[in-house]
This record gives sequence, C-alpha cells and structure tokens, in this order.
Amino acid sequence: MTVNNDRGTNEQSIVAATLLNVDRVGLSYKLGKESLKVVDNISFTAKKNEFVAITGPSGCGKSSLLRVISGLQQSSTGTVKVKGNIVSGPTDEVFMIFQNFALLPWKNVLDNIQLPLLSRGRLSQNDARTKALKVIQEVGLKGFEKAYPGELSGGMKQRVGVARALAVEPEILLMDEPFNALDGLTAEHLRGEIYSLLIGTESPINVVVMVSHYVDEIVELADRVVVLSNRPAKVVEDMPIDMPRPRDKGSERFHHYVDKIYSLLT
Amino acid sequence: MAGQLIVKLFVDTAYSWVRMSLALVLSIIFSWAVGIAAARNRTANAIIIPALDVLQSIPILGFFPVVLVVFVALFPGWIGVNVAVIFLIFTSMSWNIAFAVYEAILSIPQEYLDLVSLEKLGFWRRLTELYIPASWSKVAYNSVVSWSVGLFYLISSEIFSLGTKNYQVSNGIGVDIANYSSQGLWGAYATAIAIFIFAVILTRFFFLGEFSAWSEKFKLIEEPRAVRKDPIYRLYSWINTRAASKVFSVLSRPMSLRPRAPAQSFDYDVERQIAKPRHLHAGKFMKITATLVCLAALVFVIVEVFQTLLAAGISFSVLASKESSVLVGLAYSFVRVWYVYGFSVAVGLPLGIVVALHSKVYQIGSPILQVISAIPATALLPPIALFVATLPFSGELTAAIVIFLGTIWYIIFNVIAGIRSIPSEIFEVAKLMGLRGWRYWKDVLIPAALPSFVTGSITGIGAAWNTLVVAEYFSISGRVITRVPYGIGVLLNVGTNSGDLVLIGLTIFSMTALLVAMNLLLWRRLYKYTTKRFAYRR
Repeated sequence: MTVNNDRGTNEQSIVAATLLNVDRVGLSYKLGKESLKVVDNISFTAKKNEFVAITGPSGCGKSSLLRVISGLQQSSTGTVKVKGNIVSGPTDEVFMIFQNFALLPWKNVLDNIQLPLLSRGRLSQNDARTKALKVIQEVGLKGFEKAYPGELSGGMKQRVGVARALAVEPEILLMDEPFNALDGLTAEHLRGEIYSLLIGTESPINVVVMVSHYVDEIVELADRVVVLSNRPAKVVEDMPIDMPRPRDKGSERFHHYVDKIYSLLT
Repeated sequence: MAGQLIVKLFVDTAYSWVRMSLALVLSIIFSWAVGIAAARNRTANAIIIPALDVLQSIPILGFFPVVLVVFVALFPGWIGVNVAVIFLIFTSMSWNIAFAVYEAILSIPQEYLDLVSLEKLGFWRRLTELYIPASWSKVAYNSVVSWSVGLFYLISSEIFSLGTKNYQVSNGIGVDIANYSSQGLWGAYATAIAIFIFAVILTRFFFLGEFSAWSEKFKLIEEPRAVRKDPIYRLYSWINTRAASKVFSVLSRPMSLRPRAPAQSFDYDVERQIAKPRHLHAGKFMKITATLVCLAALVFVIVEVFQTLLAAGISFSVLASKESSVLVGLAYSFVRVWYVYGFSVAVGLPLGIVVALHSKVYQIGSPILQVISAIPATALLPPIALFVATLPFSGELTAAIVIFLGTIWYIIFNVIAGIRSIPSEIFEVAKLMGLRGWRYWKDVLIPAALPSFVTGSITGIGAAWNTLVVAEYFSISGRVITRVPYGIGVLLNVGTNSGDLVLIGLTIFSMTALLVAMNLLLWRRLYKYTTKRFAYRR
C-alpha cells in the first residue's frame, strides 16, 4: 500500500463525506538568506466522524501543520480545504485545543468559555451563558464556574480547554499534544473521556485532528494515523487503526498497532 | 577651531566617564559587601534590607546640595566637588546592584554551599571562589541599567554644580552642555550632544555588552537561551526586581526578591525555589524586632534633630510654617507627577503593545529605543527649555516634558517585555476566537500587559519624583530658565540657593514619607493583585 494509491482511492470514493482536505502542503522558513524546508508536500484527508492522529519525530513540523490547518499560519505551497473551501485564515468551522491550555488567566472559567461565543459566535450574553453552563456540566467542571485558571490543576485547566472547544461547536477540532502537559494519571483519565465527549452522538464536532508523539495515546484514540518523517516532513504512512471501541490496551491487536507505528517512526 | 572643540569635548567626556566608572566600581564593591552580608547573615539581613529599601525611595538629587556642602567641607577644592558628584552617581547606581548581588547569593544552589563547607574554605576563599563569581552575571547586567540611570545624574549634577557658583566641576561633558547652551553656542552644543551620544552607544554596545557576555560563563543556573539573549528581557527583569523591592518594602522582603520568571523558564524557576536556603527567610520575631529597632531609630533621630534645631534657635513655629509650605509644594508636585504619568501611560501603553506585537518593528525599534532612553532628558533640555520659556505656562510645560521623558521608558520597556513573555498560544487562541478591535485590546492585550505595566508604573513614578528637582526649576549657570510657582523641586532649589538646610531636610523627609506611604498603601496591593490575577503561569 503506497501513500499515493491510498490518497487516490480516498479522493474518488468519499469526496462527498470529506470535510478536511490537506493537499500537498509545504512549509519553509527563511533562515537568513537560506530557506529551510520544514514540511514537504503533505496530503491527507478526513471524513465525517473521523479521529485522525498525526505523529512524527520531534521538531518535524507537526504543530506547524496543525496551525496551517487552523488558518493561523499560511502554507508556503499547497492548500487546505474545509468543506471544499480553501482556508486562508481562522474560520468558523475550526477550533483548537492547546498543549498548554491557552486559557486567559484574568478570566474565570465561565468567562473563558463564554468569550468565543460572544465574539466569534455572536451570541447574546444570555445565550452564551446558558451554553457555557451546559458544557461546564458535560465536562465535569460544575462548581468551578467562578474559579480562575491559576486556581485549577493541570487536568482541570485542560477540561476548561475542552469545554471551550465544545461550546464553540466547530466542525473540525484540532488538538496540539493535548495531554502532554498533564501528569500520567490525569492524562489517562481525560483520555478515557475525551473520545465520547468529542465524537459522541450529542457533539457537533465531525472531525478531530490530534498531533501527538505518544504512540499508545494514538492507538487508544485515533481512527487513522498519519506518520511523518524527519525534517523536511513527508507522509511515511497513512494507516487506519481498525479496532472496536472501547479499546483494550492489553490486547494483541493494540500491541500490533503500537509496534507498527514505532517501527515507522524509527 | 572645530578640531580643538572636538578634542576638548572628547577630553571632557573622558573626565565624565572616569567619574561614572569610579562610581560604578564603588557601587559594585559596596554591593558585594552589603549584598553578601545580607544574604549570609540574618542579623545583617534584618538591618540592611529595610535600610536599602528606604534609601532607594529617597529622591537622590534632593540630596545633592547637602552632599556638596559636606564633601567640599571635608576635602579641599576640586577634590570635594568631584567626590560629591561621584557620590551622587554612586547613590543612583548602587541599590539595584546591591539587590542583584543579594539575590544572586540567595539563589546559589545548596550543593555549592555544601561543597564549600565540605572543602572547609575560609571566608576569603568563599568570597573569591563562590560568592563573587556567582554574582558576576547579575552584577554585569545591572551595570548596564545602572549606567543609563547614572548618566542622568552625571549630567544633572554637572549642570547643577555649575549653578551653585562656588562648587563647580572644571571638566565634564555636562558642564560643556550647560556652558554652551547658556551662552547660546548652539553649534558647539549640538557637537557636544553628538559626542555624548556616540560615547553612550560605544559604552553600551562594546564595553557593557562585552562585560555582560563575559559574565555569562559564571552562571550557576541556566536560563533558557532565547529569553536570556533578549536585551529587553534583561532590562525588564532588572526593573522587576527593583520595582518589586520598592513595593514590598520593609516588612515582607523575601517574596519580593523573586523576579517573575518568564513563562518559558519553568524549570529554572523550580530550581531557584529549591535552591533558596529556607532558614534565611527571617521569622516573625526577626521582622518585629527589625521594625521596632527601625522605629526606635527613627524616633531617636527626630528627637535629636528637634533638639539641635531648638538649640540653634529655630522655633517650632518657624518649622511649622516651613512644613506647611512643604505640604503645599508636595500637593502640587503630587498632582503634577500623576497627570504627566497619565500622559506617559496614554502614549507608552499602546506604543509598547504595538512594538511588542510586531517582530519586525521590535527588531528595529528596541535597540533604537534603548539608545534614546539612555540619553538623559537634562542633556536635551536647554534648547527645549529656552524655546518653551517664550510660551505661556512655560514652567509647567518644561516640568511636564522632563517628567514625561523620565517616566515613559519604564512604561514602554516593561509593557514590551510583558507582552513578549506571553506565550504565543494566547494570541493564537484569540485569533481563533475571532477577537478583533476593541474587544481584543480589552480582553487580551491590556490584561496581558497589566502586571508588567504596574511594575513599570512603580519605577516610572519613582523616577518622576527624582526628576522634579530639575523639572520644576530649570536653571543653567545660575540663570533660571523656567520654573513652576509651587512644587517640591522649587523648594529644594530655593533651599539650596538660600542655604536653608532645614527647608531641604523637611522637604526630603516629607517627600520620602509620602513615597513610602504610597508604596505601602497603593502599589504593594496593586502589584500583589495583578501578579496574582493577571500573570500568565503554566
């Protein structure tokens, strides 16, 4: 199975359901007079209700790729399409969960979650509040509405990050190493809940793209994994992870996938 | 002729620079003595730290007349005047270096202290092998800032000493600047300013730059590279330390010495905390004792002063009438400082944010701003004041210009450094949230800048009070160019000209009392609140 063939068949068969289309994206930076190629010709797609993980060696440009998809950063070559429209800046369809949470320290939990609803969602103060309180309940933050981020543990902070993303109701949710700043146990706990929160029946989110370098995490969560090479990053493998949920971490199949991805990374 | 002038100016700059260098060397030696003692000895700590705190809130320039009289009495002729000038510059340079040494010694990791104990090093060897090397890097980068601050006092004191006819420095770039402008020799004045700026740039980027680079190798604890290289960060963290120490005056010393680490340097911060020897944090008993000792000393001094005054035939009613004019002046100066501070904020806050947000503007702008900020307002003042003197409200206008130039840099540099220490995620999430225009400023940019803005305000307002002596009453060669009717600066000048030491003493005392009270009542609380609520921590 080569990468090109895979992409070809994808494009023809599921064009209608394709929500995200990353097409030959390249990224280079100017370093003095030379230009440094970080990401080279990366293509992949994601269809409805798909959880895609992107992994690769550290410093290969995974996070930059995510920022191109979000519209925060411009690609040097190639395009990103969301529902067929070329992304040229932040759009209403995409939101992100950050590695270090990116909560505003001067706003309490409720205000942090409400803020995007007021600005980007253009909701009234009342509607925003109702909606924010609803997601606060969903992610298990009830009772912490008035707390400030500085008063919360890392796990709780990331719950606020998740709640904010859920409240925004993006079609495509990007996650940049979302469990990286959490301690082991807290991360495991949140990982256990996050799939049903994001891709559950109630959730308006249709595609999740997660950047991670934890192979176990990827096999636990993702429907598909895109493995990138060293800089300049190319797609080494674009592989479905075909396992029923909830996934048994002790199973042979789980280990098979973990071993496969490790061998691709090294 | 022109060649002669240039040679003379270079020679005079050299004279000034020798004064500056002597003051810097003195400051560093003083700082080692005081800083190391305070960091390694509890009793010394309880005395030195509160003393430094009060000393650094005293308006230094206000001292100058007294200092001049004392040193001229002690030393013959030109030596006395020069010692007075060097002493004045020394007092402007030394407090922050002393606090930096104190902090550097406190942050020596415990392993090193254990090591020198195991090796049974004597006091002198500990000094040369550990304490002095460990403090080099902080001493070096504080020297950069001290040099800029010192330049203001160099120029002011050289101009000042010329004003009081009997006490003049014979050679000095400040003397030349004052002379040429008072005689209306504007070509020579411009040349002097150009050579002065040339010397400032040369010193800043070569000598002081090399000094900092050399001192880096003595670092015991690594800071993240990107942060360390940023010149504005260096300035910022110094200002932070200084402002924090001003704010948390007298009683709550140890907390204030921890500069707010940039968000990226988490490991560094943790190391420092672990490294801090706990037993040095003076207990409640020590604090109360120190406060009582200070209060007793204060009462003693006041009683002594009163008795001396009464013995000298100065009655209570004379004192009361002088104090009432001091209070009027204080009220005028207070309002003046605050409305000019308002202007500085209106310009400095948005300007700082805009410079910090655009990396191209920042790369070009920050070295330019650094050099401009190192040029003392007093050097540029003569032509400005002479022009302003022809306008209505000339006294008020000149005062406002000088205070503004003395304040705004602290606001700009702090805001720039504050915004730049905010992780990019915050700006990214703001973009994804679709925050734009006023909402973006209100919900993200201004709150993000707030903690560093408060520190900038504290030091900025401190600097504003220090400029009043020149700002409110500007004279060149004894000729008054502009003055305001009422103010602290006017009183200090009047007191100097009439030799009224009682008036000078009352003015300095009242002003210091007001500043200390402001720190305790307003700034300390504001600083605590903003760092708690607005500072970005991971």
